[in-house]
Parts: sequence; C-alpha cells; structure tokens
Amino acid sequence: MSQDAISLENSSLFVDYPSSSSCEAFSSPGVAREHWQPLISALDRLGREEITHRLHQAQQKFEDHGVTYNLFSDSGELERPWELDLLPFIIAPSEWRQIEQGCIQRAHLLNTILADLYGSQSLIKQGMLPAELVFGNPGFLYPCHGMMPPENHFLPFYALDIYRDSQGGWKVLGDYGRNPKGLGFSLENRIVLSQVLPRIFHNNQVERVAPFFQNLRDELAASASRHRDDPRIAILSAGPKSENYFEHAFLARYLTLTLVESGDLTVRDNRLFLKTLRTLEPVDVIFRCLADTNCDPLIFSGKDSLGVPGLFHAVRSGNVSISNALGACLVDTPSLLPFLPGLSRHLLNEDLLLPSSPMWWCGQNDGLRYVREHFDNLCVVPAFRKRRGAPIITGSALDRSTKDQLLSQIEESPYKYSAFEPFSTATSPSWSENGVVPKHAILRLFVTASNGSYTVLPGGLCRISSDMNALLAESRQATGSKDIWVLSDQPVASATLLSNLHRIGDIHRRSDLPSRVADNLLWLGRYLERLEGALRLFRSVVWRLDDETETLENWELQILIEMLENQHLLDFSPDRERGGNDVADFGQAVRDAVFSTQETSSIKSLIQLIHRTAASVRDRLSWDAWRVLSRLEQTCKAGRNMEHIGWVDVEQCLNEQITSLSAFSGLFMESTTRGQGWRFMDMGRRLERASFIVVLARKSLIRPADEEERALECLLEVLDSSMTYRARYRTSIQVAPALDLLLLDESNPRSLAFQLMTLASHVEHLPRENTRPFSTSEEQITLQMLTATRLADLEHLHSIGEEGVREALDIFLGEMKKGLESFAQIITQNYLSRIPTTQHFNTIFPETRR
Amino acid sequence: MRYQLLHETIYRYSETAALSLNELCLIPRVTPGQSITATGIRVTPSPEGLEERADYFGNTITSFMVQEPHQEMIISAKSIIVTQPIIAPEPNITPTWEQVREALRRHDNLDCLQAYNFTFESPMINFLPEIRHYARQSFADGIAVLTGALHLTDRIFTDFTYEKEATTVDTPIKESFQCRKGVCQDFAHIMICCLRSLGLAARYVSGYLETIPPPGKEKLVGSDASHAWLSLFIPGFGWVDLDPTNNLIVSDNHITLAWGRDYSDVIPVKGVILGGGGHALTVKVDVSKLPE
Repeated sequence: MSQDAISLENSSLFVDYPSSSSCEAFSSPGVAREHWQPLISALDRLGREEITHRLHQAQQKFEDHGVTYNLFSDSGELERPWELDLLPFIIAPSEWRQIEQGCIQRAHLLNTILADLYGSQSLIKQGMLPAELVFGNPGFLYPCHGMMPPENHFLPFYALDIYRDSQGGWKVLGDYGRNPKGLGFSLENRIVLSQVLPRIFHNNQVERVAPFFQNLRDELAASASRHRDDPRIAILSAGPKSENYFEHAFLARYLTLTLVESGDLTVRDNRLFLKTLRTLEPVDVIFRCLADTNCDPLIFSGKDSLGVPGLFHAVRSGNVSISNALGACLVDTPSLLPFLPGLSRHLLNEDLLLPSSPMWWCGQNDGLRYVREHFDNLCVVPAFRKRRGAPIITGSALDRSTKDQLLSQIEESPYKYSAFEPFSTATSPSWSENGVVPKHAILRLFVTASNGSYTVLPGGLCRISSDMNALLAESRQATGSKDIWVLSDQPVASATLLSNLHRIGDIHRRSDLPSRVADNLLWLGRYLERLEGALRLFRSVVWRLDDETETLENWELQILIEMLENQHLLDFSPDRERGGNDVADFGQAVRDAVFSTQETSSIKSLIQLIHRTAASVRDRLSWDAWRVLSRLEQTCKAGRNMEHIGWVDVEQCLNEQITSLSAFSGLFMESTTRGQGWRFMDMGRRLERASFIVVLARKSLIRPADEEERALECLLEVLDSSMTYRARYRTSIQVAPALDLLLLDESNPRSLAFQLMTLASHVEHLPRENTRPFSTSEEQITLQMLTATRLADLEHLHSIGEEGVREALDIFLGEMKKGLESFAQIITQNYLSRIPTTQHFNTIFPETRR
Repeated sequence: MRYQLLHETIYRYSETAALSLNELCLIPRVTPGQSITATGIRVTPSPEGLEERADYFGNTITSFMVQEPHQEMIISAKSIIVTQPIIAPEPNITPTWEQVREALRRHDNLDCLQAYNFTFESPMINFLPEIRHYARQSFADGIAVLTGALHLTDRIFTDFTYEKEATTVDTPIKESFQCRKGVCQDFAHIMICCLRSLGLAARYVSGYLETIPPPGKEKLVGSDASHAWLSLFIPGFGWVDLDPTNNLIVSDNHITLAWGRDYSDVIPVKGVILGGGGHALTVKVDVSKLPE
C-alpha cells in the first residue's frame, strides 16, 4: 500500500473515521493513502446531504432496473433490493498489476490441472495430488473423463474470491469454474455508480470494464466450431426460479446473446437447436449458467429432468462448444487450495503469485494432525463443496457431544473434511446512516480466456459487511456490495456496450423467438389487459361512492358489483337481510381487493402474475418498460401503508395504476420492433380485451331493465368509450348506437370488431410453412368472427324477444365467446405447445432367486 | 461354457413419441474369464448417430437417437460369449482386510490406484453408520479379506429376503437395508457399501445368470433376466466376484456385461423420450447354452 498521504480538513466526513494498519484507505488517522485521495476529497466536497441524495438515486435505479437477488422467495414478496455502497473499493495501478498477474497464472494453473485430471491423471499417478481429492470428490465427473474441449480450454470464464489479510497481502479464498456468479451484478454496480457519481468517476481515471465484456463475447464466438462467421451463442439459464436470473437476462442483453432455458433447446443428429415458433435454429455455443450436472439428464443424475437431453453428446462430438467445459466444477473444490503452490511449481515451474487462504485438508496426515491439535480455533467444512450460508462455527463453540460426533466423523472418513481458521480481512470505508464506517471486504474477480491467454476484468464485485463471519458465510442479509475501481496511471479511453441495453426485443438478425418466450409474451399481454379491465371496473365503483354513501341500493353499483364478481375480482355477498346497510363491509372488500398483501387479493395477484411473466422475458423488455412495471408494484405498496384510506385515495391509486399501464402500452407500442414477440404480446391483449367486452356486454345487456341507460353508461365507462359516444352521437345514451360503438365499429380501438380485425391481421403474419396455399385454422377462425361482426344486423341484435331477453344478442355473444376460446387454443397448439419429456431407465431383475 | 445371449427391450407408447435419446450398456466386456465371439445391437426404427464409446471404467456405451415419430422402439442386443471357470483363491491365504485397506490407501501400484476408485461413496452408495456396523461383524480384526467377504455374502443371503416388489431401481440403500428386502441390485449395493465403508474396494457388476428350469420342465425362451453382483479387489489376487443374491463365488455361469461404482454407472438401457405419453415396456432376456 502506498504511504504517501495528505491530512484531512477538520470538516471532513472522514475526520472521525477509525483507521488501522489494515485499512484500505487510511494509513493512520486522518492520513489517506494516495490512491484514495481524489475520492475522499471529492466526497468531502459533495457533503453529507448530497451523498445521501445520490444514494437514493442509486437505490431508485436498482429498483427501476428490477435488480434483486431472487424475485421469487417463498414468501411471494420481492426480496429487498440490491444494496450498493456509494464508496467504491479502490485499487492502485501498481498493485492491480500484481493481482492481475496472479489471476492469470491461477487460471492457467487450474486449467492445466483440469486437463490432467480429465485426461492422463498423471498428477495422481505421480503423487502430486492425493487420489481421494479426485476419486472421492463429487465434483469430479466420471462421464466427462476423456472429453477434452477444443485446445483443452476447460475454463474460458473463471472467477475467484480474494481478500487482503491483516499483513496487507492478498490471498485467494476460493475458485469458481462451475458457473461463476456475480458478473452481471458487478456490471450493474458499475453502470449505476458511474451514473450517480459521474464527475468523480471520470476524474479518477478508472479502468473501463467494457473491453472485458467484448473480449468475453469474442472468445465465446471464437470457440464455435460451426457457423464461425456468425455463430449463435446462447446463455443457458435455469429461468426465473434461479436466484441469479436477473444477471442472466442482463448479460444476455449486454453481450447480445440469446437467453434460453433447457426446454428451449433440443438435440438432433448430435447438434443443438433452439426451438423457435415454427423451426429449429442451430446453436453453436452455450454459455452456461447451470451447474455441470444439471446440463444433461441423460448423463447426469437421473430423476430431476433438468438440462437438455443429448447436450453431452452434442458437446462430445464437437458440434457445440460449452463454457465452461462440463467437469470444470472440479476447480471449485475448497480442498484443492493447499495443493496449488506445489502444483504451480510442478506444472508451470513458477511460484504461486497469489497465495491461497490457509486451509487444512484432513485427508493428509499433516492436515489431520493440525486439525486435531487446533480443533478449538478451526471451523470444519466439507472438503469438496462450498457451503454458502452455513454459519461459521469454530470447535470451541461446539457443545461436547456435537464436537465428539464431528471428530469421530473426521476419523472415519478424514478426506471428506477440511478446516480453516476464521480470519478478518482489511477494512474499507463504507457509507452508512451514521457516516463513514469501516467494513470488511471480499473481492470477486473475473477472468476470461483471451487469444490463448487470459484477461482479468479490471473491476469486479466487492462484498462488504461489518460482520466478518457473515461475510465468510456469504449471508445475504448482512452483506452489501461495492463497485471495484482499478485506477489507471494513464488516461482511459471510454468504451461501452450500454446501447445494447436500450434496444428492445427481436434485436437479432434471425428470427429466434423461442416458443417459450412467445408464450410468455402472449400471457403478459393478457394479464396486462386483464389488470386494466379490473382497475377500470373498480374505478367506476369508487366514482359512485363517497364517504357519505349510505346504501348500495343503486342500480349502477349493483351492475358494477355483479361485473366484478363475475370476473372473480371481488368476493362480496351483500347481506340483504340487514337492510342494505352493508356499505362499510363493501368498502372493506374493495380496499382489500385493491391494496391487500394477501396472495388472493385480485389486484395484487394480477400484478404478481404480470411481474413473474415479465421477469421470464425480461431480456426482451427495455429498462423503461421495467421501470413502469416496478411503479405498478410500488403504487400498490404505497396505498397499503396509508393509515386511513378514503375513497379519494383509492381512486387516486387506481388512477396512477391505470396511467402506469397506459405508459407501458405506449412504451411497448412505440419502441418495440414489429417482430413476432410484439405480435404475440399484442395478440394476448386483443384476445383478453375482446373476451372482456363480450363478458360485460352479456352481463349487462341481455336482460334489459328499466334503467337500461344507466347500465349502458357503466359499460361505456368501463370500456373507455363514453367520450367517443358523446362526441359522436350527442344524445342521451341509447342501446342501438352503444351496441354499434362497442361491438361493431372497427374504428373504435375499444370495440370488439377492432380487436378481431387486429387479431386477423396478426395471424396473417405468423410464421408458417411457405408453400401452404390454404389459410390456417387460426386465420379461418378470426375471419369467421370478424365477418360475423361485419354482417351483424343491429336491429336484430337490439330486438327484445317475448321473454324480455335479447336472444339474438345472446347467441351472437355466445358464439364470439366460443370463437375466442378456440382461437386461444389453436394458437397454443400450433405455436406454443411444448411437449413434455419423460425419462426411462429400466432393468428387469428376476422374479426370484435362482 | 458357450452362451448365446439375447436382450430385447421394447417400448410401446400411448401417444406418438417425437424423439428418443438413449444410452445402452449392453455390450459384454472382455475379462480374464470371458471372451466375446460376436456381439451387436439392432434398433428399430432406424437410429441416428449410433455410436460407441468407452467410459472411464472401460465399458462400451452405445448411444443413439430415434428422430422420426414412432410409437414403438425395439432395442435388441445379441452376443455369443465363451466363459471359463474361475478358480477363486483359497480364502484363508488372502491378506487380512486391514492389509488390503492399507495397500489401497498407499495405492503405490497401478492396480491398487485403479481399485482405489471403488473405495468411495458414489451416486447410489452413501456410507451409513448402521451399514458399517453390520459389515464389521464379518470382519473381526485380522480376518483374511476373502474369508470376511464370504461370511458377509452368506449373511446378506440369509438376512435379506428376495422380494421384487419391495424396491425399485432407485430405492435408496438406507431403505432397502432397513427393510431387509430387495433384489440382486439392492444386495449388491448393500454389500458394496459394507465393503467400502471398511476401506475396501468393491465394484458393481451388471450381467446375467442362466436360469435353470425346475426339474422336468422345459426352459422358456426369454424368461431370463438381468443380474447384478459385485467384485472385491484383493491385492496380489486381483478382483474376485461375489454373488450375495445366490451366496456364491462367481464362476462360468455368470456373464459379465459391465462394471462401475454402482448401478447408475452401468444402467443397461436408459433414455429420454420427447412426447409419447405413457409407455409400456417389455424386456426379454434369453441366456442359452450352446454346444461347446
């Protein structure tokens, strides 16, 4: 660490900051290290208030971008948003060069070890590496033995955790080859921090991260064995249930990769394909965000059908390249750490530049003896896998029987255990409510292959906590994050791939819309429309209520309540016996429906459905679109927190949500290319809107009552056509013109006919086999319905039969309802159906002993 | 002995299957006691990308896909095999089990190193204190390893009931051990677990055993079945095959297909089907003795 320093002003934010020899920023109280000085004086100039303000800006951005660790925790609530500290972790240029060299050497070393263990195993034969570490290690995948990736590149993308120990040196805590996590979060941190502290960022000469990402993408592309001029690269994710789904979607967009899930892929002739709407598109490279053993159910595990059947064979035959190679998870083994210095000298003829964190493996006599002798100070861990979230407990904290049990387990299979001594890392100044405080820090760094060598991301993801054990246990509750700034001694050229994030959907040259995505977009459209209908219904109710309302004995309210109940939006059974004084109960039911946190509440559950569906296609939605969706959720939350909710507040909340929805529609219409993705989403909207119109019209118009105009009024209002009616007819509301406007008028975007017309035009453009001369079944059915509206006789529809019922209208609407339902079915069948897979393995053993 | 071996697997699907991917472990391996005169696999409908590879343990794995829509798939494997009687070592001249364990830990020659692969837990074999305790009763201090192993073979034969409905191919070892019931696969797994938890090397062997019809009755074609046993490593003597289901040391009546750490390494037929609804499965195995 550099010892050149300046003294702080008394007014500084940092003046009371406790410093020690293991402080990143200060060499002694008030004396900042040279590479921290520009940041510290810049923050002092900003001042406490401004910093707090910028922090809120950053938090707002994370919320807008929907950055969460896992959207779907068990509680059904969104987890707390990502936390970024406004103070970055700063590394001086000269120090970075040493770290960088160490990372590159380590990537080389681990790659060489993998190539040996999955090949000749000479390291075991020569006794350089204990056989137990391989044969007894679930991370060594027997089926992958002998499967050498092109040029023995096992680790094109590798990550490691490092920390500064109390002596000031850097140590490696762990290596990651399985599916290194955190790259997307580190990028998001960088984008947000450089936006909220633009001046400070630019004045600090921070190394840019974009070239690394470009490099990563180039390296993935170069690994393709087919379509080398323009390979298709897919990022394989476990989908929204994965806790890192945010970063999968984010990386997909930033690197312009196709985001896929296992079910989107299929193997034919040992080649990998993406299932798109009507065809199979070849895939040449897989960037996997799945554990090795979740990649192919035919080869690994058995019961859970995770992965792509046949992927192993496609990789083996060299038709698909996969990053990292299957089997690379072996480098994650914590107990490899003590052997790396020796292996480095043996394999590379070099001393290990970045030493590993001390770890004692019980599989060797020395290690076992040490662990026995120092048991009280050590924390025993499994030898072969990282245990995220497990508490750090040393031997001294164990009770007698647990301790004895653990010791006897170690004696029985010593190779299954390792131990380490809990330690503290150096601290780094971090922003908190009480000013700047020191926090421990662990840095995750990322390395990618690059023209035969490796390149290190000048940056990374820094995790911080004031509780060192929480940090070691990777507890998510107690840790925050920092951006890592690697300073340059030269001016840095600016570079960015940011524009990728602002493009929307269908950005690829070929039509690559996976059926799953089309399906999700269709449902997103349906749910959004369903929510809009629900909000409008509720608003019409609220408009008719005020705090003076004493009775529900109001024809319009009755109609609206029936509509709500019919759509399963409200569960309210008025207690007529009590003489209609159930306004209070009704009010509560409405408030519950709109604000309640209960999963069953209608509005809340619709918003949740929208969130989930949108999350599973989030690589196709722009940040703006996300921001609007997040606002929907927030409006709902805001209403929930109000102590007394009056009707005016409810109305305002509904208004805001309707506005948000319109904003989303507007954004989507204005900024999405007219590709198949847009088409499916719009079809969803049209389908839902048409069904809504049909249902409401049936409910309110089939059995005309005395006060029919008032029912019509409600209907026009809910279907957002009152203004149009007044402007056009300038009369009091009558049935025939209203029917015309709502059902048959193709120029009214809120009419049934308009929805059908739009659907008809969509299905004409769906992909199909070129040669077929006949119209498709989905074309036939939309045309049938559209023609029915065009030929409908208004007089006839309007007429009331003997029993006081509009029979013709009833039949017409009934037919429409059936038609819409079968249209939805046909689309699913022809474009979206996913065939389930089943696994079989069998052995028939004899009925009896011989 | 000379055997003709036929192993036919037929899948019939309730709906059309669009695609089927399969891996077979049906080609018998050459061993010191067994040579292969002829072997081949036929699949209908005609398979795509049929290929063979050797796995880590030296077994031949056949993989293929059926890519045309189909409602029936037939896999038939046929081999002619010659087996030689195997003379097992005299149990009391084999080293003590502690010596074997030590040799494996040292693994200072290639045989011991290779055998060392088979001393650890594996996908279907987890060490359990109760199984270790059970094993220890056959291996008192200083017992010759084969003496102990034969004692254990006999105990498993006596203590466990052969009951086909009691378990399935993926019943965990804990369960079959507790209920003391199962088929040859379970018995092999339990005995392997016993041996490994003492630090010995044991591998799972998949194969066949000719059935002998009750006296006076003709043998029915296709009435045979798959069989499974295990093999114990004894330094200086090599691998000795033991059959706890029938309480014997394997000789020339057993036909070896493949070996691995446990069943999951050497599943005879496994696959993934796209579509197809439910499926009905028929397996016919026929082991017939040919004239010498």
